[in-house]
Amino acid sequence: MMTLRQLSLFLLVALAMFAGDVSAQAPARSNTVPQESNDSSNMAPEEETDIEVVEEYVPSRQYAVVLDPGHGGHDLGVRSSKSQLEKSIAMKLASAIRSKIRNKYANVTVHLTREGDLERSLLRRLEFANSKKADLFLSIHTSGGFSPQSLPVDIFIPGNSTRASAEEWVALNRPYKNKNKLFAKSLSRHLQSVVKGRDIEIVASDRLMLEGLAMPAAMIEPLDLSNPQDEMLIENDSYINQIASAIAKGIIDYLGVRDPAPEPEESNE
Amino acid sequence: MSDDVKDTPEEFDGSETIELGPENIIRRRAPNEENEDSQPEGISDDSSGEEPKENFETAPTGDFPSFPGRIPSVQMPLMDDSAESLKKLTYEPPSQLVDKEEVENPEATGSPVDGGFGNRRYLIFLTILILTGFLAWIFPDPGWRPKEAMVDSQMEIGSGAKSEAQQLETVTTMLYVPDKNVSNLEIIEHPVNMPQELEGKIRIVLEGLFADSNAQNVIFPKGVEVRGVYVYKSTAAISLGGEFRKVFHVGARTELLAVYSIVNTVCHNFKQIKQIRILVDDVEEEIFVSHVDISRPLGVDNTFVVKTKKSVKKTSSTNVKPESKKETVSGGKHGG
Repeated sequence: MMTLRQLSLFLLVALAMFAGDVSAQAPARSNTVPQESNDSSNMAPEEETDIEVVEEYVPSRQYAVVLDPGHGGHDLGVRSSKSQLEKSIAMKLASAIRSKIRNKYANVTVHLTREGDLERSLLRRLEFANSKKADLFLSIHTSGGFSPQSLPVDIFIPGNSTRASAEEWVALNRPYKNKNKLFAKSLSRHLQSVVKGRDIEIVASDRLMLEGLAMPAAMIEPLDLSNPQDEMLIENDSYINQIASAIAKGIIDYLGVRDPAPEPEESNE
Repeated sequence: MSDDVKDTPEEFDGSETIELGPENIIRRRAPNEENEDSQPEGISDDSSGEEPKENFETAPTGDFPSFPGRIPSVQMPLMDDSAESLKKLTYEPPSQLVDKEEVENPEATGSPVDGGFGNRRYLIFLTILILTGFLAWIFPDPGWRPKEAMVDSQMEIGSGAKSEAQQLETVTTMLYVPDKNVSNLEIIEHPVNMPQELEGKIRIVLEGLFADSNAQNVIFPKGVEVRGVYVYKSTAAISLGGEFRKVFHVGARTELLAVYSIVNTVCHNFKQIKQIRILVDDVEEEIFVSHVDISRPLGVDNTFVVKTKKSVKKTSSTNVKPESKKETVSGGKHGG
């Protein structure tokens, strides 16, 4: 009797170990599933599988990036002395970044929170990004103030929320604390060569409505509309293109997307 | 004769002057008189079997000592058949000499005795009063606080109104203002005359922060109005006039600087205030202007505070924390 019990216990343990091994291998096997099933929209892995594991180990999958051109509609944002509006420049930058990524990386889908001069609340923008299950969120703004002093290029990332834990949505970004930093550093690395004579600061703040994003997130203010020097530069589209290229590289670099291999799929448009 | 003696206490009420005959006059001992026995003879020996009247002395006519604090005596005829035969005496009944029956059952005699029972009643009343006060001190009404605490804990609407009666005191406040580059906050000293009430003080400090005369005020537009300051426990609600929003077109950094300039300044100067709820036109808003979430109270954040020579000297080290949430990459070195 004793031996039988021991034997059955041993079998149970062995079975459990075997089951654990099988479940660990399961995501690797399912790697091909999202690629086959998804087209241009963002990937949607099977509900049953562990989403995070799938995302980590997929070598060449579909990525979704949400770009948020700040302000819009009645909300003009910062106004330069030459009547340039933040909402327009943010839109211009976001569109430029999207086209640069689209042209090069077919497996990266870029969504904009607004297409055109529309007014959207911050919460609605967050909701949009979460609904897309994006891999990355970048809000694009410009800086400005009451002084012509040049402000640093700010990259804001979500901070540790000091708000009540009852608000669950502010905890959505907590798992991405380190990824936020990595993303911001990637942007900073690529922008250094473009922004001239300006410091780049990475600031963690829990007051910019970024904590509700279930993905690595940042908010960038690469241009200063209250600074006369930047105002001059903004008039030149090539400068905006340089900034857009640097940001696009920062995004791609962070995502770890390789340069597009000659896939049999559609080539660039 | 004995009836007369027994009845006399009924007639005494401390304000009467009674005409007594030589035999039935009650002698009351003056306080300063020498006390031969420990108890008055007239009331102590009911059990002795002696007639009480025999223990009384006849008071000398007209020279009875007056008791300090007594009501002046009044001449009053004794309701007695033999009144004509009585000598007129000025008599004042002291409290010590009371018929035993009256002491035991004052209502039965119908005579109010102010000396004994009145004092007790007064003492009982006083004890109840003290007890009530003591209980009220131990278990105070939650809504009640001393005047000083009330200022801290109660929300008072319209507290910004400056009354002329307010006493002003000169206080050195610390303002969080932008530095030369308008990219961070530094702390400067700012002496102001302050009223007594907390809300008034907060208002004065904020007005100093927003003042056009403040040379370092380059993050607030002109004419920012403090509509009201409401304090509830450790949270101060500061209502700003919404007009400033029409001209406050700034980036996220400047907006954060503005918000934390308010929050840090108030929390620094008033240690009892731990967080600030910013209202706009007395309404709870989600966003300050375009970027900063003010839907919940904000606590001190020293992300943008830099150590300056002034602030290091004049503020305690605990108030200026080293930056921990910020990483800077110098663009000047890499600029091409």
